[in-house]
Amino acid sequence: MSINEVIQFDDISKSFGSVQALESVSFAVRENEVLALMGDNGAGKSTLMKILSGVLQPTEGSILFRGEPADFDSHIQARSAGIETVYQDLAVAPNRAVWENIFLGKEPIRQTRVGRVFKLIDEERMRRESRSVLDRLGMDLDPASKVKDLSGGQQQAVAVARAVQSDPSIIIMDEPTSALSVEAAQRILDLIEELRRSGMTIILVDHNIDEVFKIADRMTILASGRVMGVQPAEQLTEDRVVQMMMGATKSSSDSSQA
Amino acid sequence: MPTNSLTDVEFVQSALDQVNWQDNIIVLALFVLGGVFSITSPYFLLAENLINILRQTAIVSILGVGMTFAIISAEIDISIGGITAISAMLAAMTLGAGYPWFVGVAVCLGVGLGFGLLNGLITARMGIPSFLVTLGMLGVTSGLALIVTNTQPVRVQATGVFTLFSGQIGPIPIIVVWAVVIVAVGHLILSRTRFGRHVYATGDDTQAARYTGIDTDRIKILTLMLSGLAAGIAGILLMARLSVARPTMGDGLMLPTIAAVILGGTSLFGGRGWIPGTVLGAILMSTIDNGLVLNGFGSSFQELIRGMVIIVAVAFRKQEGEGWISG
Repeated sequence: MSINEVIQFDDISKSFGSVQALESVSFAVRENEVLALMGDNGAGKSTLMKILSGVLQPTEGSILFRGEPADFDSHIQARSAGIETVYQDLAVAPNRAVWENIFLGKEPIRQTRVGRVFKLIDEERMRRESRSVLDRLGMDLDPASKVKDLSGGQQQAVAVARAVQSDPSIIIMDEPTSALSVEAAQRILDLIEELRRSGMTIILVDHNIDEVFKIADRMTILASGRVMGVQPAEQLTEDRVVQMMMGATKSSSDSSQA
Repeated sequence: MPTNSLTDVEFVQSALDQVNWQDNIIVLALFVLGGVFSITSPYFLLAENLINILRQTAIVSILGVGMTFAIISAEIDISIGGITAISAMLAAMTLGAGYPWFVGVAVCLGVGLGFGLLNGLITARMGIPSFLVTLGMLGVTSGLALIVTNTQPVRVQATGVFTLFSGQIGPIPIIVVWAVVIVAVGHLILSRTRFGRHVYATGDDTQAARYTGIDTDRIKILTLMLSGLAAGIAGILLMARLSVARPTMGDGLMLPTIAAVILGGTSLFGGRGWIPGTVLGAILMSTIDNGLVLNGFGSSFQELIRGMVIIVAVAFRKQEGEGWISG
């Protein structure tokens, strides 16, 4: 089997005091797939993604990123390694323009002597590249609009554009459609499809089963901090996923089949 | 009709949104007040008086530059008057002890930066609102300014300080030249540098800014340091202009400065604002003060009007934010 594994979670455990949030979690994320991370509230999805993106550190276990140990101390480290996160609560600056948000925290500096000394931002480049990111993602948005004047779906799209701008190899999307209308959610799903076509790997944290079946290549299902199963989407049914989310393990299903 | 085209109402609203109401209203207010004062007082339009207005504007503009940074980052600095006083007092004492003028200047700036740093550290690291921290610091600095000389003023006899910070170039007071330089530098930093961009982002949505990797604590500390620095600069300029440092010389500076910043279109809630607006706000405040004096109203009346102007400006801003104009 010659499928490239970009991320390997190896026996990850995480406890907060006496609460065991994750217990020996092991699975791999493959190159250029949409992997859905499913689970009920409290299953450990967000904790696991926070560990991958450097916000939290595991109590035990390790993560391999392209075969190398990846112990990120902060999300900035994770980001510079090529792992971007689009947060559920958007994390956009409402009073700033779209182009400013796309480059927030990573504004390019003008490459002149004065520019480098005083860290003058290269506004023209920011506008130009924002336009091209938006075009690439097929987003019909004016880069000069203020984010607060956009709809929820458009704001989410700006957050995605920001993640895409730095050309990451992995994008983690934390419930990207939870606050959106059906129509806006569909546009975000189309966007994810577009990202996969352009070669990115996407980890989609979600508990909307319908949505996940539309888009995911494989699913990892967590319940109470443990992996209940990692399977290609076409081998799963909605009922089976719900069972697993409620704690029925893959092995119990295997034994029932045996 | 394509789904993304605007309805007429939306079109008119979006056109209205393009207009920066605050800036236009402030210019309009300046003309109206100028008109009224030029009718009610024969002295108002004299060149001497207009230069006087600029001179009065200078200090508030300089303090306003620092305050604009602080307020855009969603903080505020109530302590500027106290910092101005203590930095001027310590500088005057340094000069009085025989140190050269540049040591006095360094003391003034250093004291301003130091108290700004203290404000910033307590605010950002301990998570206490800057309103409370700087309110406390106002007490600390004002008290210290009184204690260091047991309430006595300190005369300044340092020619270097006077040459650089008081007097005139032609008809223009040097203090105005300094204000123009500081305003220009402040505006460039805020609008053109990465730091400036991060100041806006920090005030707009601190959590979002932090997620994108901006060290928002550092930004808040730096903006409060800039405000402290501006107060130190105001200390030098006032000291040079009056040839004396008084423990109470910073009294009455905070209110017009905050009023100027807010009148100039900076949102008290952070994330929005610009320094040229602050300067327009400062000119408006000075014009009001000047016109009131020329028409025979005393300083108590000025204080009253300043307070009212702040309330009206904030009320206007709030209404705008909640959809009166922007829908």
